[in-house]
Amino acid sequence: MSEFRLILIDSDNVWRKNVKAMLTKYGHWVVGEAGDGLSAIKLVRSREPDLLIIDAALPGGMDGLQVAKIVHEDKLAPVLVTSTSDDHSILEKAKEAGVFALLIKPLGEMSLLPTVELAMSKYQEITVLEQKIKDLQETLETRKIVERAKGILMETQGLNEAEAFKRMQRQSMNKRVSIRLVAEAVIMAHSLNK
Amino acid sequence: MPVFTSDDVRTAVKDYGVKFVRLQFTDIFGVLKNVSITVEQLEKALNNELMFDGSSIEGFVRIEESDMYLHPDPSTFVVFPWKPRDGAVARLICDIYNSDDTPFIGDPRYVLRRAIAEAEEMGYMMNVGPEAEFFLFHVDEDGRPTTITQDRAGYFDMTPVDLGENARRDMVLNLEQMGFEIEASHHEVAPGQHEIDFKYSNALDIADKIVTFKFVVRTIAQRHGLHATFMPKPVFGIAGSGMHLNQSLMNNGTNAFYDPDTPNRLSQDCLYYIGGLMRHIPAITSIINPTINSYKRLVSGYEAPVYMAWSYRNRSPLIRVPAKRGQSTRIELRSPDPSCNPYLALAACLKAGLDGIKNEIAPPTPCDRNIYELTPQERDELDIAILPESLKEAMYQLSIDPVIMDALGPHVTQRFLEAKRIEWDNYRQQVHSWELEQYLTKF
Repeated sequence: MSEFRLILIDSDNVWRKNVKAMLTKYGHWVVGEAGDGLSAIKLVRSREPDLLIIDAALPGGMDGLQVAKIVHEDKLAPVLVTSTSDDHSILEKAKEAGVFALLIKPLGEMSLLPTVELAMSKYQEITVLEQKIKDLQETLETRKIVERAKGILMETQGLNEAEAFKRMQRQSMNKRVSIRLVAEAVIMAHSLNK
Repeated sequence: MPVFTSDDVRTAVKDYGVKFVRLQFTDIFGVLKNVSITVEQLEKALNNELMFDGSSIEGFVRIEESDMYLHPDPSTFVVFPWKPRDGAVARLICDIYNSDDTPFIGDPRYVLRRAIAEAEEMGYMMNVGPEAEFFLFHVDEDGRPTTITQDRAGYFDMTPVDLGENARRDMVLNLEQMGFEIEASHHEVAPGQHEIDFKYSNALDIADKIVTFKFVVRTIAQRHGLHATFMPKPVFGIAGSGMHLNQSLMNNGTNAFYDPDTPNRLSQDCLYYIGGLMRHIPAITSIINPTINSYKRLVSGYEAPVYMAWSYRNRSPLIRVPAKRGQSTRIELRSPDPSCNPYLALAACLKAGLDGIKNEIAPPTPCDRNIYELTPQERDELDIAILPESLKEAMYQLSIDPVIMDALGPHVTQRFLEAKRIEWDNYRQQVHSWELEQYLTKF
């Protein structure tokens, strides 16, 4: 079992106390707690927790699902939402807000702790995958650009493919910039000559 | 950069997976209005076929003439970076047209377009660089904005993290993703006060950007649990928020304000432009300081201008000429505040400057002394007058200045004066807490 830093948001103080005791018993740290949405968003931004547990219905300007949506969009942390109602509209909004689990109160240790663990592992998995996709997209994009630049060099300088690539590679090392930047420069210079 | 066309918009919408498009324009007070459409309706919008009810927009039209058309400007296309990748939201700023396909004369963007066209006829293009200030305040538990600043609340907070600085960093990142070139972003004089400057551009682009900027700042603040306000003077006793406007004219790609052969290296056009601004500033004030609250900022002691004077050096007067020359030669008008409608503000300034050039209005002698330290007699001798001290006075100045009224056009002038008269009457009838404090026990 791992230890996580959590933020707990619920307008019910007693509920918060109980859940906090439950989480602490299993080695987690509650690094912030509050009873309204605005404090929630401020706490998440300033304390950067591993996970946010927030109730759907909160007093004031921002409810739990609105907070969850911002936290999801800005990729701040995974979010678990609690609710006393199993209303379908809450589920819909939770989906839209990228919530990891919707937990219906009352809530026992037996259901909360595994959900926390699973949400964390899924979130880490997604983060890794997102990074991978980003890297792949960049590689693909770079390859496309380099291919085009290579074509231009072969056509205008009368080089073969290997020579064209080598020339860009040499330039990239001499100028200490990425090969993509060199290729982009080749393409731009070519479009100026047109 | 090539201009974005309707076809580019169609491609970009597909590339970014845009689901919703917001069509934006402002009313005559500079308040941003939104018509949200789904991506399926985009084709209709790009063909200028989308209609709305103009009578529901403050200061626009009467009910019997209410059908208006939105003509989206494809060059203003931008995707909101804070929205999710799947189901992205984009916006287009629109011009407003009448049902007979003529531009609507009450549209602030058209007012600015008219002034720009007049400048073009004379061979000039206006460049503007704004410096907008704003406050970040806390919101109470019920979601109502307060005037408690982040800095002061940081005193009670348990963590050293400054939420205001974080929010501002996020604002800058988002603005950059929307194509803004941010030149500076820093904490201002007062607690909780911030400034973000972005790179100068042509007048229409900058007016669009100011409107966008205010919208982004307020949205991001909200996403950080804070409230951003562009109110000119939210708290008595500390500096207010201004929006200095750096202005210059270009003539065939060169700066028309620069002349290397004069002692101050300013061209005659530049001096006339200053002369025009100074002559019309009482009327322009009603446009660039358009709220009751604006005049609580224009008081001495807080770096806001009070006197109509200009200078090469010091920072107290109305117009300062920064030391930069060459392509960066410009004048800085220091009285505007961010509550103004940027389209009308730039139109009024440009028109006044052009009037100066046309009629060869020489500016008064520059004043390089600290004006706040001058006695009233010394000011009289130097012929330095005071800016309008209230909205009412500025409104009167507008009503007697045909050049500025012409810049706005009869429709906007009339609606503007009417709305501001109601605002003034409403204010005049209130019993202020200051009055209670002064008189309740005394009499």
